[in-house]
Amino acid sequence: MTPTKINIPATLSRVSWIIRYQYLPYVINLAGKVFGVTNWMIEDISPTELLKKVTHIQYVYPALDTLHPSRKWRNLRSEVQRTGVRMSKSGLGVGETHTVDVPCQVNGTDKVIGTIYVSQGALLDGLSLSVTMLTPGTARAQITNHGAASITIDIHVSINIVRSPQAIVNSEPNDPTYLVFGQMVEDGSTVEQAEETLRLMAQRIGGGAKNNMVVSDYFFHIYGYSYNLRMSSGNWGEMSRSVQTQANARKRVDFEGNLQGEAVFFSSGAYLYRNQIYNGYLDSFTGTHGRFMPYEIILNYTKHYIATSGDTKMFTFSWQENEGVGSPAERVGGAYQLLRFPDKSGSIARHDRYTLSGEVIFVQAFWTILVGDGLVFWDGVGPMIKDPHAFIPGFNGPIKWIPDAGSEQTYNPNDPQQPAKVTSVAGVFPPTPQVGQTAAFRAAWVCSQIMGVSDRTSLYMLWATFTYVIDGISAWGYYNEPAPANGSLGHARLNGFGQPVNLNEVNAINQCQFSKPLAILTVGVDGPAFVWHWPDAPLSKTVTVNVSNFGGFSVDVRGRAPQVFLLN
Amino acid sequence: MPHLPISAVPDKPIALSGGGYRFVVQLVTCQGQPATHPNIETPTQVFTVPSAAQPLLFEIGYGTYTLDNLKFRVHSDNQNSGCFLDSQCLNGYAIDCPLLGITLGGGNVECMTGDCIEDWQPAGALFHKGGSTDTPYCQAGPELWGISKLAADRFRVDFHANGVDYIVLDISDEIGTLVERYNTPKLTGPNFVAQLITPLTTGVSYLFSLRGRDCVPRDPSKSRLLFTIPDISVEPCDATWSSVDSALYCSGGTTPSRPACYDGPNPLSVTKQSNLVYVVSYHANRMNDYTPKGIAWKFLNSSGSIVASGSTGELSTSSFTITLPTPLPIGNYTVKLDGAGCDHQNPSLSVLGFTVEDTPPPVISYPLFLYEAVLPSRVISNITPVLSIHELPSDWNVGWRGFNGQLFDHVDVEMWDTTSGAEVAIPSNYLFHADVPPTTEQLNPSLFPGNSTFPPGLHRPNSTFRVRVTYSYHGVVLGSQEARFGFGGGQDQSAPNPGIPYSETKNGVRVDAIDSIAARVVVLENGNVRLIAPLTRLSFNGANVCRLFLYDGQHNRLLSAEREALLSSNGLSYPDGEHGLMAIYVNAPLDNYDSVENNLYGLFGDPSTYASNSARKDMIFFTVGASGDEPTPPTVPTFNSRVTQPYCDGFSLVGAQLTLTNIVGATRYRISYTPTYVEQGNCTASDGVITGNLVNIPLIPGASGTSRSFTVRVYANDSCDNYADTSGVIYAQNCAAPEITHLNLDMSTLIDSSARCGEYQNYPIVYDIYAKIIAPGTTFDGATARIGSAPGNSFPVGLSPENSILMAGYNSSCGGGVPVGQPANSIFYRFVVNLNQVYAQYPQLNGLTVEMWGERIKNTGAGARDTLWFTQNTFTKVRTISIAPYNGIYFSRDPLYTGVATQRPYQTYNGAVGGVRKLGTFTFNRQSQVLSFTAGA
Repeated sequence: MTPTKINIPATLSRVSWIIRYQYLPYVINLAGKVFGVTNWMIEDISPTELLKKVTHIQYVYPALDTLHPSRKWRNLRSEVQRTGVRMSKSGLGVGETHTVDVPCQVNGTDKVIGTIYVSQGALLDGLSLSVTMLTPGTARAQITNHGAASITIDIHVSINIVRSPQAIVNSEPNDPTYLVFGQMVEDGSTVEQAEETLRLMAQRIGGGAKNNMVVSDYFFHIYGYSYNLRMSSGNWGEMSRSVQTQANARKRVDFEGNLQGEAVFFSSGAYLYRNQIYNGYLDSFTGTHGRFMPYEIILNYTKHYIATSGDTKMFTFSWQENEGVGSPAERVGGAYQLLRFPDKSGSIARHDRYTLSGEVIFVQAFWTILVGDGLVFWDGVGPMIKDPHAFIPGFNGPIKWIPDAGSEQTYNPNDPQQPAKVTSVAGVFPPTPQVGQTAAFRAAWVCSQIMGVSDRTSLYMLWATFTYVIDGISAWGYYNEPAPANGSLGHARLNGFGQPVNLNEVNAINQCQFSKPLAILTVGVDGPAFVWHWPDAPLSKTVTVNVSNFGGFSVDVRGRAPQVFLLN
Repeated sequence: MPHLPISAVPDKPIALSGGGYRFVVQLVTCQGQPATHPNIETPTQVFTVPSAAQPLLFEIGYGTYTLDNLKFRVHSDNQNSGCFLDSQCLNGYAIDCPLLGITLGGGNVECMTGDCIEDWQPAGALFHKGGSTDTPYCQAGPELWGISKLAADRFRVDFHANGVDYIVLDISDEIGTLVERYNTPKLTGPNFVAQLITPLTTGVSYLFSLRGRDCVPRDPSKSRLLFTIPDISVEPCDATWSSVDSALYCSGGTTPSRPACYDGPNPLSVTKQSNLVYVVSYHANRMNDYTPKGIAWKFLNSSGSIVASGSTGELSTSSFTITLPTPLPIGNYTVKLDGAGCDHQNPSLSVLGFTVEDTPPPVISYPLFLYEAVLPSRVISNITPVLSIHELPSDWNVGWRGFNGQLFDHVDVEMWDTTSGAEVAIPSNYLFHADVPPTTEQLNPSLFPGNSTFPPGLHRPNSTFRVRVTYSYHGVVLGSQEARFGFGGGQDQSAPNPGIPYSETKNGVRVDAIDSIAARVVVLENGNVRLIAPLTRLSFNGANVCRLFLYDGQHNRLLSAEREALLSSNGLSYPDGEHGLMAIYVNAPLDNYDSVENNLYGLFGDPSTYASNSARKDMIFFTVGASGDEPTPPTVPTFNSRVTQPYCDGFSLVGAQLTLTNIVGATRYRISYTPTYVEQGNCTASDGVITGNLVNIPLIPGASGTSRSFTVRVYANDSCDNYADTSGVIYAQNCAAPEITHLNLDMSTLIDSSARCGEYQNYPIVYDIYAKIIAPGTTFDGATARIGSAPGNSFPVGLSPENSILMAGYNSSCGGGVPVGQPANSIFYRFVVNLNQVYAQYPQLNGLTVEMWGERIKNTGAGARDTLWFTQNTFTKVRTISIAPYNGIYFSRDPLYTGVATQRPYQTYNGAVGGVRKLGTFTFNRQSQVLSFTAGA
């Protein structure tokens, strides 16, 4: 076979403050897989143009009302109104009830369910609180004294009004191609309400999980729905055990990597009618460091395929920001990255949260699209424009002016030596560099070359038998030999792609454990391709890879990013 | 015309061995010397006459001139025989007749007219008349082709001539006396009506002779006709009469109640412009002289029923337009014209057949070309708050060109502001809408009406638009073209990249970077990348010095050596691509990465310790790559396009295609049979490649009788991004196979051994009709013969032996040869020819009368003409002549005579030629009715 590298156009890799790929002529064809986004340069790029570059746009723009559901993805929201009310009364007698009516901005056709948060976290003993809807426009909060003596109350109550599952479903398109996620739990719905919403949506379509694109609420994973594992635990034995049986594959995994009970996704029966989310929330350095990501993605998709026998899809839900969850050092520290104004001799620096690099997003998007069912790239919704003068204040702290000559200053918009600040009704300049979404697109573009452009993936994927040479020193491709470990079917094919379940396919685990490269052959109706990715590769050295499959071939690779070769 | 005395008669004409006598006529002076005359060629030609007693006629041609000092000399046998006679010396003798006759026995030279000319049939003139400066030969003709009695004093004359603007008609009686002379107005057609001063007598024969007013016929024998005035006049009988003969006798001979039209109206053509609109061109004169003015028209179907009629009103052009309330079904029709206030003098010329075929919408090649509007992004500088049309580039026009001249009649422009992602329609009053003439090219109209200003917001920078131009015909959308364009912002339109603080190329390596406030990368002279960052930083609370630890964009460690290189003055060689560097500062031992990763919570996450153990980290994003690798801006293919509508080839609808011409920048195309393009699967696939500047793209029509939209997406390259769409509609005619519903022998129209039979319906695409005649009891197994062609709804079939079987079918091939075997797609029907039924309608021989010079047969049958066979006693057919169906009129025929019969009530039969009378039997064809006579009895 003759390998031909798929070279990524340099301009697609160019770092940028704006979502630059949307201006470039490159398009994707993922042959049915998903690459969805939220943010777009709405001022310059029409939906028609954007839809050449993504498969789905998040349905948060009125402009998309007429767009077919198959090109939209939705993050279901349940929140209608979140209202704080102070309930104060001195001498609330035994058996007495204190009532406060709260106006609600509620659609008269919605059935409304109230949820309650109390400022103290719990009511004092003897008091009960209820919230009812009197009319579609009024919520009534009532505190009743069930105690033995009168009491003075001064309680802040948060009334979070959410729509009923049926009301949410009724407001959404009924289409089997409509890609649906949810943040209903974060909005205040209970897990049960959120699940009921998804169930109703799937039931309305009918035909089970295979027949719809209903996925999951993105908070479900913290309520026991997930069975993903993190390789950073280093619990290699449990990882291997997780792919030995379907029952193990369905098990939750604790922080140390130990298999727990059956994930709620299965125990609740949700897997029968909807699909699964792959948590792509990368977050802080503390949770994302190391080489693990590509191996982890392969393993978790393997686990999912075994757990569901391939009957449900799993989509990755990601974004490019680092909020610093569990890492106050990052949350507080934030980032100061330079935004330069070509007409001025200097840059400004705003304090904002960290943005993940395009490098890591590229890895995540590449592997989740290649071995999974695709990725949606969630983000906050705000029209973005490319005029840097429309920058916005920082997340925390003053804006700095960094002149080319001289010391940094506090930004002064009235100083003619400094860039002007403008406010545009069209939108804002992106607050953080938008390298992530372009990197995700770049990954989708590379995948397109071996999916829709030339089908090199639809049949199966196979761990390659290979050796690799650095500085004249040859190494086996796997920790113990050049050949991969075979699974229960007697071969080393990855799980997925409609193939029979291949239990005990543990090569991703082994490669990660021993810091070995990922060398995978993909096969489609147009022939094979070769995928190489070695997160621990030396940056400045060329690695020669000798693959013995398909009659044998060699490629030279360099760097830590995934690289793809067509084999002809 | 006085007779010219001849002084002598050859007393011994020399008899010829084959019969008859030979003479030579010579023009000589009165003194006997050879002479010439500008209008008379010296007669040297030898001619013969069957009898010395018969008058010798020789032609001198038309013209009026005078003979002076001349005389004619007639030689017996040859000019030098010495046996001759001279006419009188002619001085001041005016010649204005076409013939001179010399009565050999009587010694006279006379102008001859009358039916005796009929007996002088030798082809060609006796004298060839040389050219004359004042009366030249006509270019052609005039030949007299027919005479129709319109009234006793009004006759229509059909003639043929070229180069003859005026004709002089002379009408002479049987003895050559000029009865009437009629000079035509300027001729406009192949006939004229002679309005006479003196009515002609019914039953009397007159010689009608034509000559040009300014020229003479080269062959006068073809310009005269002996015509017996019938007792009936022509009037419109029905719409199907088509010949002068039948026109003369198609009814009982009543005189039209209305005045006869002066000239015409004769339909010349019927042109279908649409389902409802027909244009009739005609020839006529003085149609507005009658009351009411103009022309009355009728459309009659193949059954003779009037399907539409009307009057034009006063006319000023040579054609008029008819707009029907409903479309005419497919079929054959006849248009019949009369004056609105007069009747056509010759109904045979008042009708014209035409065929209505399936009517697809006009074959329109509409422009799918938006002139210079395919601008993915356009930078408009100096944008003003209110931008008038005049401030835009001059090429912001919508135009069309390069289509086939058929018309679309309306153009609409729609536009949407797509800047916000929502498509906001631009109010139509700002945009171009117009009825347009059927022009092939128009490039001037702007997208916007000329005097309007742009709608608010349209002119702002960085705005994008979609524009659609729709072409329609009679309200039916034929096609549309869309384009996108926009105002740019003045920067790199292919991919803006504002705000990048660092971009530099060294040693061929370009590095773009978004640096942190305290850490940055630079490209060194050797092309390596160096990180410039503090190695330590105080913890958030200032309690500890935190050390730098470097991680890549995947949050993975850099190799130790690479970390050192990156921070050194030599830098680190980076592979191409996007990279990230995370510079974290934590309170950990120098370069002890394990200690960092094993204590992440204490360094970053523990609220009680993080501020002491970590400091703000820095993120640097950078790209390493070769310089000059920016792609060219997206290009959109441009082209002109036209749609060729499909047509019926036999029973198949073929030929639909989209032709793209003047293609620039296109490599492939895809077809979507939808009004706008719908991607079907793989956009990188191709339905066809484009390798030049022209491509014909086959289109697949929908079901017969339906229309089908299509959109062709033309790609600039293998990517799915750069394309232009062109849309249109394919109209599918109904090419369903015709069905012969029945075959029917129409005995009433049997003509000359053929029959009209085989009716079929509404099959305009039938081109050839085939039939086979086979004997009873046989099967159809042989080759067919092509016997007719369509379109039409009947075809002639040769009569076959009685009780034979006729099978007929059709074939769809057009112009092809005769197929072998049963034609494809044929449906054959068979029927038995019943000859008895045929003969029952034939005329009956009713008698045979032998008169003085011959025999006369009285035909008392009714109906159609027939063929008359003459047989001798052995019943051997000696010849066949055709005889018009003169009911009750006597016919007579010389069985030896081989000429074509004329339509006269009788003629002499000279059975004594050569002294031998022929015995013979007259037999009507196929009837076996025999009446015998003995010639010469």
